[in-house]
Amino acid sequence: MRWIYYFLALVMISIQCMGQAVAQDLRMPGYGGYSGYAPLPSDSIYLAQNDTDTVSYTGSTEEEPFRESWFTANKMHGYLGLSSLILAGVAAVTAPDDDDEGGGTAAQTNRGTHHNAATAAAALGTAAVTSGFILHWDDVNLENGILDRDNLHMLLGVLATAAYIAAISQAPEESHATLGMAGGMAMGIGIVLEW
Amino acid sequence: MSKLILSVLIAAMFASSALAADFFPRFKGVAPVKNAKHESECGSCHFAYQPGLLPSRSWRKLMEPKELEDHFGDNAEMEGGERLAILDFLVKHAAETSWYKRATKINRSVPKSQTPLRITETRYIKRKHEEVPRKMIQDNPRVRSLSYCNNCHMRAADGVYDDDTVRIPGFPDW
Repeated sequence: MRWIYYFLALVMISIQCMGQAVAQDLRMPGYGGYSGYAPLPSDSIYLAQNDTDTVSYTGSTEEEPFRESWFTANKMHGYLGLSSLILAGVAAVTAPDDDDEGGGTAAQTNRGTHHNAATAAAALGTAAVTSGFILHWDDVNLENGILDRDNLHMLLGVLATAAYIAAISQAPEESHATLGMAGGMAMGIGIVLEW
Repeated sequence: MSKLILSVLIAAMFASSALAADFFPRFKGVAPVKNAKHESECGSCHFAYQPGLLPSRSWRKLMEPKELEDHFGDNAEMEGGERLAILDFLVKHAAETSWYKRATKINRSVPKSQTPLRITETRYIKRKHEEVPRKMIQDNPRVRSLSYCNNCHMRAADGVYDDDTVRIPGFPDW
């Protein structure tokens, strides 16, 4: 059951990354932050209370060309989902053959990589689903039916992650491969729908 | 050792995910289709709204000669040939013909019995903006109305309308 610790560690790291991305999105009121926002040029910043002079703000202004940040909470959600899908692929590629059951060194390495990649995929999938619910809850709306793209994306993401976790917990039984592949497909379709 | 390699791999994947959007076109907004006549005729007065922002029946109604005579209070009459060319472009790329996410969501949110003439009247656009307070839009002299998409959606011209590209003038901490 050591995989659970590894799983939890990856989820925690992902949440930490999400936290940083969210923190960047939530700027302090009145403070320009560093992503292109700034007080109006007419505003001033007082450097010291006992000084009567004010210093005009000379940093960036809103008139500056817009630069999209690559590190936002929304994007983090996407990175988690994509990484989860890629790791599921790594797990599939490194799955040991039935002939490897004997347990040579190469087979053991493969089994280790396969197991770790699968655990990481499940952990990142869990983090992606959690962040999706937090950030995009308002996009989930049953008014347009379950086949609405956002609804399907959410549903497939949840099912994919559940399938990953079920596959890990059932391994090394033969049925776990089917679950893992189903999870990978669901995650892939879910991502394509939102791409 | 394999865990370490995997951790490095995950970090590399995050970086490649960030680059992926640059290499593979995304279909989240509305199709950023362009037409010279549409740009010059419509875009000379207001933001040249992409055809995917309304269903074709709305564009047909909007582009009727009588409607153009009183185009939300202004006269926007145009020559028959130009009008038809623009109408053809708008209908060809209208919301129901698009795979782009926001176009499909707009189309699904408009009942078949309705023909909205304003993009801001569609249920989807209303719902997406219902939490934005008046002071940021209508009472904000640098925005004035939801109709001016490109005042806040910095990549509206590219058909991108997501949260990450919103900058509300005067409200850096929205």
